[in-house]
Amino acid sequence: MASKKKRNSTEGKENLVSPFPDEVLECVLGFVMSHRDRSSVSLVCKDWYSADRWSRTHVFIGNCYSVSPEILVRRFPNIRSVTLKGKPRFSDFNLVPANWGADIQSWLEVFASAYPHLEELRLKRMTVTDESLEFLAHSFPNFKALALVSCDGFSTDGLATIATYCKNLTELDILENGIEDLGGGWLSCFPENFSSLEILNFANLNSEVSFDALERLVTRCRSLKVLKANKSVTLEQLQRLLSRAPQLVELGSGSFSQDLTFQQYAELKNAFNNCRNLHTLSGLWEASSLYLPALYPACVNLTFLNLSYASLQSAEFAKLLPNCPLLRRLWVLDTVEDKGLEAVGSSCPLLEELRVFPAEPVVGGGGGVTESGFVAVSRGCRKLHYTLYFCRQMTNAAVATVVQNCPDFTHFRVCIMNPCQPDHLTNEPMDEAFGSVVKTCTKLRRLAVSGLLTDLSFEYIGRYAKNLETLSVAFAGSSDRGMQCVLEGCPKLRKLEIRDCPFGNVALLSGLERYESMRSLWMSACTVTMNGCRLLAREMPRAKKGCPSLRSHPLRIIISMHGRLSR
Amino acid sequence: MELQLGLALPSNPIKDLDLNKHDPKDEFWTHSCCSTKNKAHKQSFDEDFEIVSPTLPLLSWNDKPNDDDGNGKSLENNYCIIHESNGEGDGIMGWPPITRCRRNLLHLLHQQQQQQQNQNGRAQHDRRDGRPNSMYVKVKMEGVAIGRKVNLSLHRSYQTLTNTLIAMFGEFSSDQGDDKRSNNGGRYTLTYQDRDGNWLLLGDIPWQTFLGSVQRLKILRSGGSLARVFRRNF
Repeated sequence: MASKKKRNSTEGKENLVSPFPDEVLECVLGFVMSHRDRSSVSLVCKDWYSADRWSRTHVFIGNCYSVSPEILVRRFPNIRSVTLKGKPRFSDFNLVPANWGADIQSWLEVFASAYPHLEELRLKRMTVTDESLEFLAHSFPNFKALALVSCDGFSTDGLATIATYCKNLTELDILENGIEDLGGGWLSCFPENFSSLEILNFANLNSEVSFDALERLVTRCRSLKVLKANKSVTLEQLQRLLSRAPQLVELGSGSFSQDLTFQQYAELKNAFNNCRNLHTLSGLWEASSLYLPALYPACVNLTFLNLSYASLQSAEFAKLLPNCPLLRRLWVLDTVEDKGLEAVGSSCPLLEELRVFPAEPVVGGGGGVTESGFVAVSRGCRKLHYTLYFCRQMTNAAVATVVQNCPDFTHFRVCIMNPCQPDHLTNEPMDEAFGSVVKTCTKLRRLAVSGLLTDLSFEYIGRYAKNLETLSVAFAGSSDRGMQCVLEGCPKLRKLEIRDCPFGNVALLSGLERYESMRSLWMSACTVTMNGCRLLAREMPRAKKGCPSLRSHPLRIIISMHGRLSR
Repeated sequence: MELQLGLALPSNPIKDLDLNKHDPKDEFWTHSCCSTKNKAHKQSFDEDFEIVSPTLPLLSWNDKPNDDDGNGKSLENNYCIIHESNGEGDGIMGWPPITRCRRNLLHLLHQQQQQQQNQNGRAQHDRRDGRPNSMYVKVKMEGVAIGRKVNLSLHRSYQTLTNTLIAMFGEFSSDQGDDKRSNNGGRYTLTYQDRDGNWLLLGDIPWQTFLGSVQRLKILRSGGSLARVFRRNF
């Protein structure tokens, strides 16, 4: 292969220039998928920057305000797939006012001219209107995959446009969005000759869809791999869908309770028996323990079981688990209680991720899981590295035991639902609990703390959590020192979310050096004042200011000045 | 550099504090001091915030299912609970941190389960203890260490329930008044906790609705905590 002249030749330094022709370099770089690695690649030298620039087909933008669409399209001319994240995570919890921003329309307009061959768009926490969806459907003839997670601003009418006009659609993934559900008619908009769908997820939409249309769609889309139906789909209907699509690898069932005849139950069980390719199972609304055994044969290869909408009791849950020996990820409601978690410990040795959600997410409620369930899981599941655990009580000793059993935690998120609650046995703060987490789990990347916490916990975090990238704090700390410890001590920190903590201007300004390397900072209901914000704005270079949020390029700093934001 | 600063929510303008004079220790509420030193910082918090002192037994009820905390441990818990009294009985905004979507779907799930239970009529299936035709809830009397359980499915009205409670707890009352349900002159007040965690007076809603919502009962000696019940819920 003759070596070609480089696009950017560096005279007199040929020994330092890559010996590969550009085409080879671009080909090799095509195997580098992760966006972080791609960023690193582009920093090596001009040749590599250029090679990355021309060969990049997928771009990930973690903060839609960090770069303008015009700059993006100028740098990367050949993009086929875009992932964009918009609002701060706390918008999921109603802490961000409506009309905050993060509108996709301006991006779509630029993409329409620069990327007419755009195939994939994945959006998280963006505002998307029906008009934008219509614009999308008409502007990109090759469009294949649309994933909307926690977005808002559109209705099922927008989905109807997508279904009608995107002839090459392979993926439609509508997850946890605040959308206006005007009915299930959108599903019937897929044309009769349309058969390319591979992924369909409408589990979080409430309205009933035409089962007839759904069944026909499933029948003709022979490549359908993922089907997550909503709860309007009954057990009997599920059985019919399964018999049409035994090749499914991910299934979200509809409602799992119905008065079935013996015959119907047998057919259901048979249908599940034929679905041995399933590795993900979710849905199971109102799961009735009577019919759960029908599932068992389909669980043999399950790696991800999402029961977070099924209020199972410990007994039926404990019977289900031994049928899922390969389970790696488990999401469950706390109705299973500690006893259910003991069953997890004994039945799921390969478990890597456990999320326990509260069935009654209120302060001061009852029931749920405690520290003993947590310890029980850690004893049996030594590979556990991701947890999200909502509980009403916890102890320092229990957390210490858990991390001793499972020192490989990368994501440790424990939410004691009563704010400022101490160790319920010793009445001491929970400082030592999170201290033991950061001391033992050296790979920790994400941490969410709760319970009664003094500055000591933050001292621990600053001293030990050297790989920490995301920290979420609520109702914790005693003084500015807490936040300062974290900002000074955690070199890899990228996202810091703080609400209702006694951190003020001193703490805020202590992070000036750090903010440049961070993606976002959120502070609400703290004691920061307008003066503090002005000072910060003055000191931060290239800052664009607007209140109540301060947006800085490329970092986003959101500071809410009030106890809460009005609805 | 442009500087555009403005307040999005003008109803509660923040006093502009000079950074030099600002002493963090003065103004905000800290979590580590857990008693009457906690005060709502009016300048930084919306007026609707209300700090509730931890000595209110109703609000710091320890809900461990098998643990009778008649030892008054709830009174000594040194933590503070902050509640918004926005009239809906909701908790703190955005807490616990569950996404909107999940919260709505869980609420729907609850409602459907409750409807199902109510539709079953007499055949109330208490999923917690697995026994059909029973609906046991815990009953505690203020000041009495041992709680009891009562099977609500055996009752058809508040009157029969009250009579049963009198029979259960009558020995503990110093003077057996006739009217146990009176809020004004009676010695005792019957309250219950609903699905949302609110404590309400018995008898305000239709019996069937009550059955669908009740979690546990408490008999108060009126005059003490009654005022707090009112403040919490009205």
